[in-house]
Amino acid sequence: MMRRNRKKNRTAKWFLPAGMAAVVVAGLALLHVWLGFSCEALGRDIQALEKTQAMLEQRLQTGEAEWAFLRSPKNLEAALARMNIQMAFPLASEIVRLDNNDLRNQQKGWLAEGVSLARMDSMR
Amino acid sequence: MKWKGLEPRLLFTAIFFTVVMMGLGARLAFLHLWPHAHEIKVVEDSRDYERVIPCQRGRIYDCHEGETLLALDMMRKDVCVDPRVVVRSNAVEQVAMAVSESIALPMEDIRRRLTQAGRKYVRLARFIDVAPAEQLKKMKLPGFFFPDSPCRTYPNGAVGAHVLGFVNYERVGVAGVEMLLEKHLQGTNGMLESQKNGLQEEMFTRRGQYVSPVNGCDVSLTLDLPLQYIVEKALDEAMETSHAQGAWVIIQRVRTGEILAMAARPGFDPNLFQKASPEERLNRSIGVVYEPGSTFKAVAVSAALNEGTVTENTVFDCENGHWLYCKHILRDFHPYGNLTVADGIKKSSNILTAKVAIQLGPALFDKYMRAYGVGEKTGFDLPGEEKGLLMPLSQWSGISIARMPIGQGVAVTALQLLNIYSTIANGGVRMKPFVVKKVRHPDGRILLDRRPQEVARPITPETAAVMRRLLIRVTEDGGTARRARVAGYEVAGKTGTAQKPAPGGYSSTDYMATFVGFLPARTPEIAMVVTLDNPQPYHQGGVVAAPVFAKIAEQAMRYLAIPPEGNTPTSFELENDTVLPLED
Repeated sequence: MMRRNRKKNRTAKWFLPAGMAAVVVAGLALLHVWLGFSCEALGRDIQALEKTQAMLEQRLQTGEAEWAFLRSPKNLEAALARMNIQMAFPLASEIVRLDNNDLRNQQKGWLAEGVSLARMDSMR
Repeated sequence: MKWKGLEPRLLFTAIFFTVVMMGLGARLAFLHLWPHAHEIKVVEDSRDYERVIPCQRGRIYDCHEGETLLALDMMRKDVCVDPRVVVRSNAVEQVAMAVSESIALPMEDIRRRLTQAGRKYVRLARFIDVAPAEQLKKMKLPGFFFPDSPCRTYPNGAVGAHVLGFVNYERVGVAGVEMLLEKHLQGTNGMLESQKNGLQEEMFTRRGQYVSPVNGCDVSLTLDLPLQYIVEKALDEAMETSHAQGAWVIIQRVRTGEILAMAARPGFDPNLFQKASPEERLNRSIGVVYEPGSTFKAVAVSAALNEGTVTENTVFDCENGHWLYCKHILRDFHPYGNLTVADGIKKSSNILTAKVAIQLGPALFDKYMRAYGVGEKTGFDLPGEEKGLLMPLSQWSGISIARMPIGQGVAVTALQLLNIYSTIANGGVRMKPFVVKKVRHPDGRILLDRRPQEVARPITPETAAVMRRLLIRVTEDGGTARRARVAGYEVAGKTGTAQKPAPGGYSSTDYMATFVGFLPARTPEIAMVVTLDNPQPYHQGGVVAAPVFAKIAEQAMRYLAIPPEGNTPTSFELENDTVLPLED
């Protein structure tokens, strides 16, 4: 009886650490698998983002080309004609040229008249 | 009882499957644990995935850097097919019909190409838009695939085509700026080395090497797109009204040498370069040499003024329009008696100019022509520039000194001619013409930032000022270029009507009509040359080229916001001025 009990005790002694080791190994294995899956998932995300980036770059290119085409003088001219808008350069007599001195004199005049700076800004 | 006969069979089947499975298991174990080298290679080869990541070719902008695009890459698709797969699927008709509807190709053509069963790869269409390609992809047509195909796009079509050039199917620049800056524009493709799974998808975790693409450098030009458009439009109208065989215009900023516009007709659309003939692709502004005619008189007169052999008031006898020199008669279009040098230029007298040059002497005249850059390339950026024709002094005949000052026996490009007048406008300082302003690497580094470059000073500022005064008189009443006048601005310039060389002499029907000048004349900003090749029925530079100059110059002044000057003709005066200019 005594001998059998000792054997039981010995079994109990190695069973626990072995079980724990097995659990740790299993845990590590699961962790490895999980990490693997995580990497795969991240990879897929990155690939999806790469595709999105490529697509967006393509759209940007297309948009820029279309914008350049829309802004081309020929197209602008055609659009103006379509909308029956006739534009002409102003005549020399229709142009008023201001230089800094004119502006300064204007400001002095306003100040002399007691116009506040804020009002001057709005008038400008 | 029911199972009695079945038991041995079941047992046999179980043993059989067990043995098969064990065999397969053993094979699997051997393949994994002790694989042969060739087996590894077969597997790896089937998994290997290598992809070139195309870079974008650099963009080309006009002088408004980063704003106005002249050339850029756009991603398009090619439609490719493995005809063997289509033939095997017995669906040639249906496939041909679907493709024909989507990409507007003749069905007969598609059917013919789909039945080339001996071939593995046929490209049905290239550079199609992404939308129709996606539509075709969704149809899951047998044997079809749609690789990306970057395509060079020129949003402004034919505008500026001769300067920009074009890119061929191999994406190599073969003309203009595209060719000149190929090294900078092309960029470097990237690369991806990885492995793919059974679904032919790349496995990111097996990704080996990734080299990102490096896009080409962006290039800024000195061209100004709205100005270029004004020029191109005026050229189209001039071609129509004058029935010319060709026409070309260059506008240059006088102080810097920058080329603001350069156009030639016939032209082409670089988006459809394959349809353009070599004639249309030729940049006539730099690639055609011609006798400059009377426009060359400015060289002789400025040289004589600079050397002090004449003054603007020196009087010459113009022999009533006929002068025998070295057994050859030289004629003026209108007979004149005595004329001052100033009036000789104004009325474009051949005899006066010849006498001025003779007084100057061949050696000095030759020296000045070379100082103005005649007979040598200007050093302009674009490929295809001709250097013109100027005989060495030792090969001149006795008559050369009387003919070359009036623009015969010497040939120039339009750019060389323009450079002469730009030099006069710029106080005697000859600048190097250029069109490429800046080259910027994608990482922001500036690889090239072009600054104005002085080349020579053939005449003094004082001589240049006198020449400007004389050339202003050409556009005044009694001058040959009244049609070059622009309301609100003084214009200085010179007309030229040169007979084209023909076998045994000169043609009496074919002419080159030119006007070259600058404005505002007192403080010049831009210089411009307009040349029409064989205009009909009128062929005089003052009649056909000068109005084109005026039309472009008027819009250019307004676009460039150059304020008008005083004491200049008004638009009303110009509109009522119907007198034809004198011939030259």
